[in-house]
Parts: sequence; structure tokens; C-alpha cells
Amino acid sequence: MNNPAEISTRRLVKRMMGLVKHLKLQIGIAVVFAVLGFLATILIPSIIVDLGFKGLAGKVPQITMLLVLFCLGVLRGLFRYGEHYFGHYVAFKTLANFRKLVFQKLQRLAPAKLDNQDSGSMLKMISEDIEALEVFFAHTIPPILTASSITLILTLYFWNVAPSLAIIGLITYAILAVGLPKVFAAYLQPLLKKQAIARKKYISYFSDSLQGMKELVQFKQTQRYFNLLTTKSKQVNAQEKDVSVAQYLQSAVTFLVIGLALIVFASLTLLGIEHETINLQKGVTAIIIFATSFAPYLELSRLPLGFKRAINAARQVFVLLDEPEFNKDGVAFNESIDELELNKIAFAYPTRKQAIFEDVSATFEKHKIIGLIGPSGSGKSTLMKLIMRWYNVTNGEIKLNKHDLKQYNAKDIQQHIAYIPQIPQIFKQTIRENLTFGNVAITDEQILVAAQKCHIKEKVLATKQGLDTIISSEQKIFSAGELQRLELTRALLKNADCYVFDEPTSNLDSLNEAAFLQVIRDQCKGYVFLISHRPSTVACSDVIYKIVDKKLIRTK
Amino acid sequence: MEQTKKPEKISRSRRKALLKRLKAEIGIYQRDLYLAAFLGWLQFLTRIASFYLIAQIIAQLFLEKKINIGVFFWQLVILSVFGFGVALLARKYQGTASQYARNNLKQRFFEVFQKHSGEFEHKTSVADILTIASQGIDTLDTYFNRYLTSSLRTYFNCATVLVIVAIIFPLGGLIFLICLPFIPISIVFMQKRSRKIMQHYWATYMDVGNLFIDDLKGMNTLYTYNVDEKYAKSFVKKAEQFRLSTMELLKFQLQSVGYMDGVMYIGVGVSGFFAVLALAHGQLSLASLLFFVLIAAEFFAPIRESGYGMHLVMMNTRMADRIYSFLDSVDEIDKEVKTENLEDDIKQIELKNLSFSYDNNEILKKITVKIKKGNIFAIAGESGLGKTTLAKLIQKQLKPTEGEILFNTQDIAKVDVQMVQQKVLYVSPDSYLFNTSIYENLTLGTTKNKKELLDWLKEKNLLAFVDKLPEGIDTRVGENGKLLSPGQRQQIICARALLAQRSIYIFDEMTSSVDSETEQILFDYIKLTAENAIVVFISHKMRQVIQADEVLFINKKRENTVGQPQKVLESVSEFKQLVETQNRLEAILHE
Repeated sequence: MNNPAEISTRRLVKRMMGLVKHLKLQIGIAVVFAVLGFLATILIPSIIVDLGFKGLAGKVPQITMLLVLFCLGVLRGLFRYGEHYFGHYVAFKTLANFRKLVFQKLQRLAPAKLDNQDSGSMLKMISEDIEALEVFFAHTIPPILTASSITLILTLYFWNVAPSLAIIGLITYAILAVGLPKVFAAYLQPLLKKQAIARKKYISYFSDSLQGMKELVQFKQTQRYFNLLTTKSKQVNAQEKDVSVAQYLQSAVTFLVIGLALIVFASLTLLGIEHETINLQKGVTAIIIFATSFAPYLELSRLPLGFKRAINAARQVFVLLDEPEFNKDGVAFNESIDELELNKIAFAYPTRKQAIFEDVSATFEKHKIIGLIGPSGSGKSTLMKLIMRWYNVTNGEIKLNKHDLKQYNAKDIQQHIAYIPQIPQIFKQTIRENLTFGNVAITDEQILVAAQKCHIKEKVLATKQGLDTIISSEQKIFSAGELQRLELTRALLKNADCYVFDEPTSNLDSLNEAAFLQVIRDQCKGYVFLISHRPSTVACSDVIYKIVDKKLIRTK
Repeated sequence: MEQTKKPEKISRSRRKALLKRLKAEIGIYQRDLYLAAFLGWLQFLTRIASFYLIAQIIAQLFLEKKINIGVFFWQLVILSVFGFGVALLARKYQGTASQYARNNLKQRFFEVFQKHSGEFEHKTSVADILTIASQGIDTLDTYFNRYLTSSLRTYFNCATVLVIVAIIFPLGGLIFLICLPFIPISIVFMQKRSRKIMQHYWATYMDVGNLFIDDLKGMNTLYTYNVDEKYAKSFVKKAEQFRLSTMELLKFQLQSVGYMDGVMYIGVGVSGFFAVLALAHGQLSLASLLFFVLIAAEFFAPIRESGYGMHLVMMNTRMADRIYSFLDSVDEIDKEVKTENLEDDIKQIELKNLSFSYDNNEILKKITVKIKKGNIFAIAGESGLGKTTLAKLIQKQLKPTEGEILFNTQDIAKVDVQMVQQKVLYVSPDSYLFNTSIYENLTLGTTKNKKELLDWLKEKNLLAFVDKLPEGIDTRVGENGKLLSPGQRQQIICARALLAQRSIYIFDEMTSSVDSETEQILFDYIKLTAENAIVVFISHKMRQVIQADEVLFINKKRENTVGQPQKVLESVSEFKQLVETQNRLEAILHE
């Protein structure tokens, strides 16, 4: 894996911009609407002031001006709508886009990339990263562009009234949009981090004690846990308070800056009017415009925090997208698996130096149950993954029907092998979909025949909607043993030449274990590999291999 | 942004009641809320005063009166600094009310869990309740903190501006009042509309975020079945559908944003026009016009803000609904107090003609048996025949329909449930291990220090696997012991129970979900427990059942037989059959 820190921030930003190139138009529209909306908001009071001065000169305003003002109000609403609509458009488009990119990349990296225990947390992280990127593209880029355009317009306008006013404006906007947020971000960041840690601890403690409430009651520990919880919650509250005070301070200081800037601006204008370098009406309009111009800058106040998060997120996502892919290509393989032989193979994972196998040879016989036993981490699963060509051996060769396995297309090999993992993989979809993965060639009848072989048919039919019942990994309908049988039904429907059972019984009691093994023995034909750390599970195998010291030793 | 639950309509009166209850949670901290709002209002007044001064001085300039910019400058600076000072003062009241209210709710959750003894009818709802407790309550911060503060601000500020405008330009005040109802009307309208749209597009509103994780977690399975590409395509399609329907919904929801802005600026513009008319007719001074223009936006801005807040409140109400529905469920538990005490040493449990029915279904039929200390008493039978129900009756979690349960000679119907709880310990694979060390988990029921505990374990030869762990007895077990193997986890649960030294133990399927070797180890724990206590051992595994001293066997017709296992084996054919079938099945494990 690349070192995530290697990609420089500048390159990251450049690449991120590249990814939203096709959204340029929508971003542009959002910004144009935002700027126009802003102009409407300053135009309304300006017109009123203008009409006021004309009124003082004795000119009663025409009723058409009422219409103009009314229309400006309506336009303001429309612009605002447009700004938000296109802003959200960009947000959801990037979200969908990034998910698509990551999904497809992971699909190409599978199975090796997702073949470890913490792939679950990796996925969770990456999906949070994607959401952070969404925030960046939708709620960061357009506001920055908007604020920049507005600054340009206002500076030109103020310059026209008096250069000193333009300078005061620029300084104020810079402080509001860049200075203060940066200062407070530096101050807030550690506080937020601390708060997040304290909160996470508290929440896990809270949910732990709720989940274990029956035990707490039985052991009369509720009072002690309750007191501990109160102490912890006080700590969290203190952290939370620090954060909210800091945020409040930021807004108070912001208001102070705005107030002082307005004072300086107004005083300078008045001086100019007094010395007749500024026209009275122009000056008054400038003051009113300045007083109503801060909103777009205040939107940027939380930017530095979001920016840092987005950059980190982008870094993780790009590292993933850049990861080299294992080449699964090869000659097509469409015979059945009839012979399997290990010829002096050696293997070490690409990310680890330590070898798993050294100089291992063996010939596996078809139509036999082959047991593989050894402690966890000894390489039982790894050997199977080499046979499925999830990885290539580092030395020696695996012979498939007398030819080197490496030369065949990995997906073609996989077509002939059914792999049943330790924890049944259930997708949130109907039982039918879970068993057939949308293969319409498999009839319900065939499904039920297979389910019957696995002694799960009755249970499936007893569910509310039978094969149409939607299940998920959090379901409570099926027990661990029953899920294992569903997984087996799925495997039988594949009609494979070779079955690989990877610790299929580790969550089962001995009765379920026995029943499951019985089904394997009766129903699986061809090559059957049975991996387990339990001697009782492999006992029924015809041949047993033990993995000791990077070698394979036949014990039965 | 992604909706996962179909929104249900909460009736108007229910909504009102919920919000009232939420507000009451703040209790004495309401004072902080009002103080903060008052100080905020003071700040607001300094701003209004500054606008007044600016308007005045410009008018004087226009009238070509002599002005003193220095004095003007310093007046404003003092106002500004004063405002900042008030803000510093208000700092310490930030968020306190919200914290207090949320802590309150969390404590009540804890208490309700305690009253339920952590037992709920539906297992699925527990997960749901846990999410509400750990995350849901904190989402109410938007209500307690943001919404309540901003609505108070709206009241204070708008009323102030309205009073000022009414004084300097009554017609303007009238226009403000006319504009006022347009904002909430728009929100209500928009919400009705988007609910309709949501229902229309409901099919496509799946949770794409979860689908993303679900599919990717199973990617290797998809790969082995060669459907990875198909699923990738379908994911992309669904994500796009979701995006399109979300945009469709947003098209309407965002209208309220634009609409509120429109109302606000139309209000400012129209009232401004009439102010100018008044000025032209000499009914309004320039100073008043300028002042009016400067403060007009201050009237509408807070209203618009609370308008934005209204959809948050909708979500808060929904959450409050779930929270209070759960909290109120505790009232259904009866609180009768019984005065009779149990004897310290319980040597026997006697079930006399015990029956139990649920919804007119007879679950347990006339059980009469004596369970003695020092023995293992097994309850056997296939699952679903009421074994666990019997355990609940002994714990007094359920009441018998007929017959009685005696501890020694005392009927437990006359004893407080808490007294019974102190005597009986219920142990099952569902017992919980806390996310701390093995040692901490064991000390739940004992006052032994670490050394005493280690000595005890060694003496009894328990938890032998602990020595092999790098951190020994200080090893962390993870949430509900998920860092341990099932066998290790269940051994700790048994050892913890043993340490608690109760008079009565119920082991419910404690030897299930482990391999045959661990099964026997766990049974040894149970034998050890029985040396000094009454032990009820519930199991469907006959291999252990026949090792018990006595067995109560429930057959498929719910008839029961009591006796020594060997004798039951001879007299009850169904029992014998069960033993033989299991032996035959397990033969595969011993080839």
C-alpha cells in the first residue's frame, strides 16, 4: 500500500478538481445564482435610499418602483432557490460518483483486497470519507467562488466611492472569511478531537451498561454503574461545553469585528462627506451596502475545519483508487477440475515478509473429503486461496489438470469452486436472491430441492413470505447453524466441481456440527476441502493434512 | 440526507404534547436559557442603537448641521465593546440547558432498562432502543440548543423591531404584520407536499449508504459466485435512481428556502417603498427612513431562521415520539410491594402442580417436583416446549397460572421479586460480558482482590486458557466478549456466576454453540456449582442431561416425567429415542 502522506495537498486538490470537471456548469450556475441573489439583497435598500433622496428633492416615487421592488424580492427568492438546487445537485452527483468509483475499484481489487478481518472497518472509513468529500464539493467550493466574486464586485464599487473604503472592505472581508476562521480552527480542532474521543468512550460505556443490564441487576451493580456513568457524562459535558463556548466566542468576536469595521467605514465615509470628497447619497448608499454585505463571508466561517477533513478523506480515497490490481487474466478454463497437485510451492503475502509455505508438495484426490487441520493463522485458508488463484504462489507451481494454474483466468477457475466462508455472508435481499444472486435460470423448485438436501427447506417455507422474505445480516429468523445451511444451499446450486469449507463449524454446537458434516458428506461431490481447527470436524474426512511449520503433513 | 424510515404522521395534539414534554426536560435550567436569550437581546439592542446613531448623523449631515465625527466614532465603539462584553458574560450559559435535558433523558433510559431488568419482548427492538439511547437523544441538541434559543431570539428581536417601527412609521409596522404569517404557512404547505412526493417515490428511497457497505462487505462472495459485475452495475443503477428521486424531492423542499427569502425581501422592499412615499409627503424624516431601512432586515432574518429550524423540529418530534413511547412503557410494569423475607439458606425448591398458559395456550402442564441442593437437576426436551418459561417462573419474572413455587417452605408469590432475584442467578449464553477486562467481569459478583481471585481459579482449576493470553486476566474481552472464542466467553460467564455464591442457579442451554470438548468443560463448571447450591440445568443436549442427578423430561405432548436419567431412559421411549438419535448423529465427529 502506498503511504497516504505521499500525495501532496496541492496535487490532491488538483485531482479533486479533475473529478468534478464535468460539474463545472452546475457549480457555475450555483455561483451565478448566489451572486445574483446577493446583488438583489443590496439593490433593494439601495433603491429605497435613492428613492428617499429623490423624495427629499420633492419627487414622489412612481408606483412602478413598487413593482420593481416587489420583483426584486421575487427574484431574490428564485435566485436563492436556484443556488440551493444546483448546490445540492453537485453534492448528490459527487456522492453518487465517488461511490461508483470506489465500488468499481473494490470490485476489481476483490477478492484479495477484501480478504482480511478489518476490511469491514476499512469500508466504513471509506464511506465516511466519501461523505466528507461530498461536503467539500457541495458546501465549500461554491461558497468560496461566490465570496470571491462578490468581493471583486464590492471592491470595485467601494473604490468608485473612495479607495479607502475599498481597502477597509477588503481587510474586513479577509478577516471574516480567512483570519478568524483560521485562528478559531486552530483553537477548536484539539477541543473537537478531545470531545469526540470522550463522547465515543461515554457512548460505548452507556450502551455496554444498557446491554448488560440484566447482569447488572442480577449482580446488584446498577448503582455503581449508574454513578460511573454520571461521572463520565460530567466529563463529556465539560468537553462539550468547551467546544460550544469556543464556537460562541467565535461568533461574538465575528460580531465585534463587523461592528468595528462598520464604525470605521461609516466614520471614514462621513469624513469624506464632510470634506466633500464623497457625494452624500453615494456615501449613504455605500454605508448601507457595507452593513448588509457580510452574509456570504459568514458562511465560510467553518471552512478550515471542513477543508482539513476533506483533504484527509481525499487522500485515503485516492490511495485506494491508485492501488495496483492483481492481474486475474489468463487462458480460459472450461474443463472440470479433475486433478490437483502442489509442486514445491512457496508463498508469502505481498505485504508481509514472513513465508506461509515453503517447498510444499502434495497430490489431492478427487471424490474424497480432504481435511485440513492446524491452529488459526497457520495458513489453511491461504492454501485454499492459492488454489482459487486469489493470489499467485511465489515459487513452484500448482497443477490443475496437469497445467500450471497461474496460466488460467482466475474467474474461470472460481466458476468451478464453491467457497463457503466461516461466517455466512447474507445480503439484505430476499432469500431467493440470496441463494441464486438473480440467476433466473434457477427455478424455485430447484432451490427447494437443494434446501431440502441441506435440511433447511421447512424453515425457509415457514418464514412469512417464503422465498420472498427479505433477510439481512442482522436478521433474527435463522440461527447460526441454519445460516450455515443456507450458505450450503447456495453452494449446491452452483454445481461446482470443488467445495471449500473454511471453518464452517466454528460457531456451531456439536449437534449442529454433526448435522452439517452429514450433509457435506452426502451431498458434495468432487473435491471437498474441509478446513477446521476442531479435530471433531475433520474426523469424518477421508484424508487429513496437518499444517506444521510451513509444511503439509498427511496424518490420515 | 438519506431517509431510511418512512415518515409517519404524528397527530397535532400528540406533537404538541411531545414538544411540551421536551421543553419540560430542561427543568431549572430554563433560567439559563432565558438569561442567555436576555443577554443576546441586550447585544441586539446595542446594534439597533448603533443603527440609530448612524441614521441620525447622516440626517444631520443632510440638513448641513455641524456634526462631531469623533464623538460619533467613540459612541459607536463603546456600544460595540459593551455588546462584546455582554457576549462574554453570556458565554457560560451556552448549551447548559441542552446538556441538562439530554442527561436527564439518558438517566431515565438507564432507569427504565433497570426496571425491565434488561429484558424485552422483542429482541429486534433492543437494538433499536440502544440506538435511540446512544445516538438519538443527542440529536435533540438541535431542539434544546438551537431551536429554543433561536425561537426566543425571534420573539425578543421581532417584538423590539416591531415596537420601534410602530412608533416611527405605523404603516410599516402593519406591512410587517401582514408579511409575518406567510413564512409558517409556506413551511406547512411544503411539508405536506413533500410527504406526498416521498410516498410517491418511496420505492426508490432505499438507504444507498448501507447498500454500499452491505454489497462491498459481501464482495468476495459475489466474486466467488461470479456476480460481482452484475451487482456493481445494479448498485450504480440504484445509486443513480436514488439520486434522481432525491433531486425530485429537493426540487420541492428547497422551494421553501427560496420562498422564505422572497417573502423577507418583498417585505423589506414594499415597506421601504411606503416609507419613501411617507417621506415624500413629509410624514417621515430622513433619519427615520434610514433607521427603518437599516432595521427592516433585522425583523425578517430571525423569522426566516426559525423557519429553517422547523423541519429540524419535525425530526426532533419524531425522535421524541420514539423516546417517550419507550420511557412510558415502564408504567405498565406493576409495582406491588411484598413484605415477606426469604430464608438465607435455601435447601430446596418445590414446584407444586405448576401450570402456565399464555394466550390460552397451555405451555406447562401440572409439574410437581422437588429440586434439592447439592444435585444437578436437568430439564430436558426439544426446543419450544417451555423449558425457559419454567426458568422465568422460578425467577418470578412470570406468574404461574396454577400451582405454586416454594423456596424451602415459602411460596414465592408472597415474596418481593427483588428478594427472589437476590437468591437466583440465571446463566445462559446470552448473558452479557462487559467491554472491560476478564478480571473486571469476574468481580461483578465477588469482592475478591486480584491475587485472591487468581489463587481461587488455580485451586479450582478454572479458566485455564487465561494463562496463555499475553495479558492474562487483564485481557480486554471486547463488546459482549467478542474478542474471545465462544468457549472462552462462556467459561468466563460460568466462573463469574460461581463466584457470586447464590443459593439457586439456572443454567439455560449453557453448553450450546460450543464444540463437544468445551461442552464438557462447561459441564464441569456446573457440577462444581452444584456442590453448594441448587442447580437447574436446562438443555436439549442429551449427552449432558444423562449425567445429571435427576431429570424433568417434557415430551412433545407437553407431558412430563421426573426421575433419575437412567430410569427415565428405560421408562420413556421418546427420551430414549432422543438420546439415541443424538448419539448416532454425533458419531460422525468421532470417526
